[in-house]
Amino acid sequence: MSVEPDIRETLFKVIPHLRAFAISLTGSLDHADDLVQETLLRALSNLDKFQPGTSLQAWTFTILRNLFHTEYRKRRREVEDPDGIMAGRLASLPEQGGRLDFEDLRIALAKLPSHQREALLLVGAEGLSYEEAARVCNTHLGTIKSRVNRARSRLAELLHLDDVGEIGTDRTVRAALQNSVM
Amino acid sequence: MTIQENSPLALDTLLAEQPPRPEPALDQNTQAALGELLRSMYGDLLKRPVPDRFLDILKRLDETPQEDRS
Repeated sequence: MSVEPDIRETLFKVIPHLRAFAISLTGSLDHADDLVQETLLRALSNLDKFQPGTSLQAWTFTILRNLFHTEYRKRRREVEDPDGIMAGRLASLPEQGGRLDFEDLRIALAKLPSHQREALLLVGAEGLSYEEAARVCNTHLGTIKSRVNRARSRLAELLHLDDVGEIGTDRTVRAALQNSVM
Repeated sequence: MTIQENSPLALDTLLAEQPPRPEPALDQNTQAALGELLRSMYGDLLKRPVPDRFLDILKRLDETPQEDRS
């Protein structure tokens, strides 16, 4: 079977995005690469089902996301990670110029329910619209919005970003007060 | 100069004048900080070099017919 050059070109460009999504979704480089490989193979053997004119990237994300959930259902494993097992793996991800706050973020991401995690990653990191993310996750627009909101709130809580916000406000107010009394 | 001991009243007044936070959404600053952190982490992952095995999968397709793997 011969693949249209522009489709192959697009797939080349999509690979880093599939990997970034898979790594942030699973917290494991090996697991992520297995998912990406399977996604590419499935995409290529099902290219006849791809609708030209729609987003090839969104289509491959859908395949990867479905594989991820099918795997977990098969293993009968809870995707959520209350004990931080995945979080532990995440923390040991080999870094390229890794930053401590990225590790904190990955650990916090791992604590989110997988549906919230994927929604937030698609919208907040990958930059899909809510509509696109809803299609990838095969759910309703309102559900995606709600998952993204809950994921953001929980992450902010886990990372103590909300505290920073409070302190920031407080500091601003204090600075204003200081200026006024000086 | 530190803040004066008798200023909490003024502080409370000022804080009370802050616009109410929309619930359950985060305030804009927190959401912006979180968004920035997410995108920079993701950007870091996007920069990772693609393993050859993935490039090979795409290259192979032009050379050999794709068998049904399942």
